[in-house]
Amino acid sequence: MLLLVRLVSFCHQGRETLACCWPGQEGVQVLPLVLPAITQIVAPAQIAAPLHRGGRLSRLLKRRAVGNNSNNKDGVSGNEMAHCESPGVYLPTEAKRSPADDWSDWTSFTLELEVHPTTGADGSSLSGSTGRRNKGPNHLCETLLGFVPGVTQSVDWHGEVSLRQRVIVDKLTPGGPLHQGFAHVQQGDWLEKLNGQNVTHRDLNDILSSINSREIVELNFRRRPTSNHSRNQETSGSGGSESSPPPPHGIFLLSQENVTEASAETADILYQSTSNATMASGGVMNPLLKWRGALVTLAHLMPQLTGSAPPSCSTVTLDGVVVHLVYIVEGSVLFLIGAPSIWCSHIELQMTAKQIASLLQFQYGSIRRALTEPRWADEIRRMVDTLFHWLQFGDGGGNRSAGNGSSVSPGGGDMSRPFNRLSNYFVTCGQWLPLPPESHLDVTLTLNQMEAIDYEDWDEEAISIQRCATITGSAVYCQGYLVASTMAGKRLEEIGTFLKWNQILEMSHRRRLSSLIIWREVFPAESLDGNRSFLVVVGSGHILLVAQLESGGVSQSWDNYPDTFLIEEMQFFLEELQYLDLETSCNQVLNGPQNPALVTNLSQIAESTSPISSSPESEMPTFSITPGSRPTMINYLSLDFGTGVFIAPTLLNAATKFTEQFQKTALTIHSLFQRTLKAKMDLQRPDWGGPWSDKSLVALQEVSVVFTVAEPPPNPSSGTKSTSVSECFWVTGRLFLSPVHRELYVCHQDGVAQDILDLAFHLAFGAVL
Amino acid sequence: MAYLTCQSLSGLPLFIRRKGDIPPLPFPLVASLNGVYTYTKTQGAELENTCSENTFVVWKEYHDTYMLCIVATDTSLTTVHLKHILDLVSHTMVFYLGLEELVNVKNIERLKKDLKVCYPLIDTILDGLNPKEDLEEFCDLTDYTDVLSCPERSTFEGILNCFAESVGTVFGCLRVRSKVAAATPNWWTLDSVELLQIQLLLSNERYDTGIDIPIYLPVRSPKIPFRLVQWKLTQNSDVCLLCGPTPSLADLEKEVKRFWRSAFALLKSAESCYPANIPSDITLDKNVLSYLVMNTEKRRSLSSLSPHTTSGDVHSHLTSVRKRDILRTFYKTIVGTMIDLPGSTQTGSEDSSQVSKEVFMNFEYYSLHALVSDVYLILVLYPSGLHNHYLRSITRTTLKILTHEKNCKW
Repeated sequence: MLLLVRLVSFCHQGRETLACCWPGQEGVQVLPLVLPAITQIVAPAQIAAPLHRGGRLSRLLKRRAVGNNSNNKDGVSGNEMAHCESPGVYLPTEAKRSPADDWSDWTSFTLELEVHPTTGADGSSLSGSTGRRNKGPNHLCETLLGFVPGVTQSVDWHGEVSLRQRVIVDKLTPGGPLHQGFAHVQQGDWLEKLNGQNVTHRDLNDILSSINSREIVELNFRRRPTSNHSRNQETSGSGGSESSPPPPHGIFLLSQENVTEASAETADILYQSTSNATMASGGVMNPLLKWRGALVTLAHLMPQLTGSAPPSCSTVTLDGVVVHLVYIVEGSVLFLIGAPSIWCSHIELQMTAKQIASLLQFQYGSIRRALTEPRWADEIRRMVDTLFHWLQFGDGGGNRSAGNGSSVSPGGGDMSRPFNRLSNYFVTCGQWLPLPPESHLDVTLTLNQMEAIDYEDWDEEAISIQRCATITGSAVYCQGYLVASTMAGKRLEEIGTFLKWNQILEMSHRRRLSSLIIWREVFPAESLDGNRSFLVVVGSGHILLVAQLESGGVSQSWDNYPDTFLIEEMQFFLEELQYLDLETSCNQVLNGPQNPALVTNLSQIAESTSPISSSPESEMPTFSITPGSRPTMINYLSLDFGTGVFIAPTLLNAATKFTEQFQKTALTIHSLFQRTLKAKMDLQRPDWGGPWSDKSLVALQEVSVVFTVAEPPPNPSSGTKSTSVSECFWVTGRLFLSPVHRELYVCHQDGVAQDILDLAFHLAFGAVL
Repeated sequence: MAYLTCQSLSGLPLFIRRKGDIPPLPFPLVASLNGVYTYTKTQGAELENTCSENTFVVWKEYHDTYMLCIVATDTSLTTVHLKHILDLVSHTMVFYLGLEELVNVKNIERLKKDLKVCYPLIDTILDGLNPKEDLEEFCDLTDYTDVLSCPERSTFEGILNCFAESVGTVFGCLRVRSKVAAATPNWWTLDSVELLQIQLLLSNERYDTGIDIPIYLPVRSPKIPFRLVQWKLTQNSDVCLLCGPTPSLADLEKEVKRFWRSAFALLKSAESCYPANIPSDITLDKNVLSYLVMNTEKRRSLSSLSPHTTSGDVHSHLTSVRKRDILRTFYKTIVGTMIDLPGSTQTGSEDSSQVSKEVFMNFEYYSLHALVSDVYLILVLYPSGLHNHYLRSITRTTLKILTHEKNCKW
């Protein structure tokens, strides 16, 4: 549910974007956000049918063009945004069916409340009724139930009409019945039923006014799952039931431009996260900003000290909480991300900040533009929520996991999904799923064909249209794994970051999409001046087809987009991928035997009797890196910095203690390798050997760390032989510099012979890509 | 390589030191460096450190009276080690001046002048960032006393105890090649900070005959000074004492002659243990190019950059200085981040069952192995090309020899 909301929300800004979402299996829902003229709805059956060239979508768009011609000519994006804000107009009729299961993850609770209609009780019916009339339609609800009703906000808008009418607790009346006796009703809760009867915003007043005497009503509320409540917190400012405030954190944008003595105190703050609510409610400044002057000074000071780069990270103690602050300088503005050390280490925060900065640049052109233009505010706020939620709960390990009850954390520590925390730090293109060679060939050929615009059945119309943009690269993700790409590592990284932070990968992994279309202007770091770039994502089922377009050059000047013809072509190739049974191939790899075979849990180590479970019905054989009847490999991670992808086991028992330890250790070793690389770069510089150079790690090739895990015996009562299962395991990281920079991390049991391991490094992993 | 600034919390600069061939720090930058800390503090936060790609800045406040700030550009450093350096510098200031003079400042100009006496030792501490060629000790890094293991140890201890008794003190030690070869039992009761300060001071003061200076013990006696007296016994060995105002230097000298004249041959023999720093009848695996063993219980460390007496070193491309730098970097890189010292409670408390006990680092030309066993941490430098499993067994054997061999007491 949340995933969809997130997806939609970032897509609905202005003309550049287009998003339609049909979550399959769960009823037809259409979000024609930027195509306001679409009034027709595509039934699931039609979606499943092959699309025709010059088909539905372009016909619809043409119709829109005719109907909204003036609108289009103006090109006022705000105009269309206004449409987006009132989507009731465009809502499809079919979607009126309310799919309750979409809200199934909301917890429901029931209250019984004695209501006292004022008319009956104190006899002042006249003044009461006039007052009621004067105070507007919500007054009844306020006096009887004790809360100000609100409608679901656009963020929560889900593409169906009934949602807009849901009665949401907007504000609790101070001293009201809910405020006193039922403090656990919170802002943002949804009043689903009253006396067992479904309540909508429209008929709430009628129902309430029918209550004429003192009686007990039954109220059914539903509450959003906790992971989602950050937004509610933000708007309410005082959630009431919240225990302690979170440790200081935030995202800030500071600039000294145009700041003079006469400027307001906060004139230098261009952006601060969670500012909207707090500034309005009481002007409480984020505690991290109180001494921002020091941070700005440091940003200027550090380069002068040693001729170094601007500062990357500061650590401060604030009321006993250690907080890391990461700096990113963009032109004249200073971008800061702060998070407490209990959430993440400074290395983790730096890596995250780097990704966020590049994501903002990719999506909005610059950090400054992203954070200061009001029209992105909603998107940014959600992104900030996602970011800090991820930092706080992203890791499933340790005591932090206690709060991780949510199922929607974007980087959850669940290693069985391709979105583990580790992947978020290193290479960002995505996790590579090695397909069987023939499948991979098919997919790559399809991509090539698509990029070549080598369409099989041109019709007259299509040939006459000159393309508006050329495809500069494309990629296919299946089940959230990258399976094919024609893009260079740098570009793919931007796209991977985009898909990951906007949770599109996660969504396509979790649910079958009927159809997904995203069209968005993007700002790649390496694009030519004057050319505009666009990102197109077309998805269905578990497959995402991504293409990056560039206007300019040979392509026609850009005046009318989204390019529906292109989107339809991409949908056609997506069909083709479906036809090639890509999903089945992926499933076979994902659900087939682990290759190489891995130790799945510690008891397996202890009980030396469990051999590799080779399922005979499977087509793919299992291989083990090490000889013997049972696996010794526990985990592996191959990072390819040339192509930007990583390879890791697709299925891993997340409960093993190894996973977290492996990730932590790999991160530590990775930072050592970073120093090695930097030292190697410094070697090339003419001023090498100066007082500032560090050469101690220049020749580092491999680092191994040995851990001892004392696991309680699997069955304490049974047997004396397994009294203490204390096992050594190794995490070995190796750095490869040729042909491209790669890092390989292997976690294996003690006792694997060195030459076997070497062989594994050189053959099994080297050959995968 | 590094700048160190010190200012009183009222904002007056006390001194600035720099290390390496770098220009002096312009005054506005010094002011800014100190200013950001003070400003942040007035806003209720404490700035701890800031790093950029290759520069670290660490601030720390001491005794509510002064603040030290270090700017260093060695990426093999971590803020933990820089903080440690600041601690050392602060201890040095107390060591020379006493806490009283630092805390109750009556005349700031006078204090500034007095602090000049600390400069050599502070510079030595900063030298630890990029040590001079002749430094072979690891004490500034490890906080532990560097020792030398020689067969004459028990004899020395006997002489030393009698000697100390005769001059009315309980603190005395005999140093051979700047490493402690024997000490009175009470010597080891001094805080490791104090032992470290004394060791640093002694290795810094290179007088021909010896020294007699007043010092404050930062932990045991920060306000009442002791006398630190040192005599050269031979070219490479000396004896030192901590004592009160009596006896006079002349009286002490008589006692030194009385006790140590007869030990001259023994001293010469003990000096022959260098550079292996272990009795010559103990031989280590030929692949051990250098090692550092730390006893975390006794807070001592034994190390050697050339553990083999025979000159037929195959791996001569690694000079002693290079080996020392490699070991120092290895130590700085792994301790506290990848491996925990035995008995340390600072880290690893989350899940003690998953503390790493061993780290291997394989470089193009050499390999390193660190192993924690019992109360010991051992770091060994090996030539490249050996399998980790082999290294592992050599390290274990080496550790056993160095800690359990009956000839090898330290």
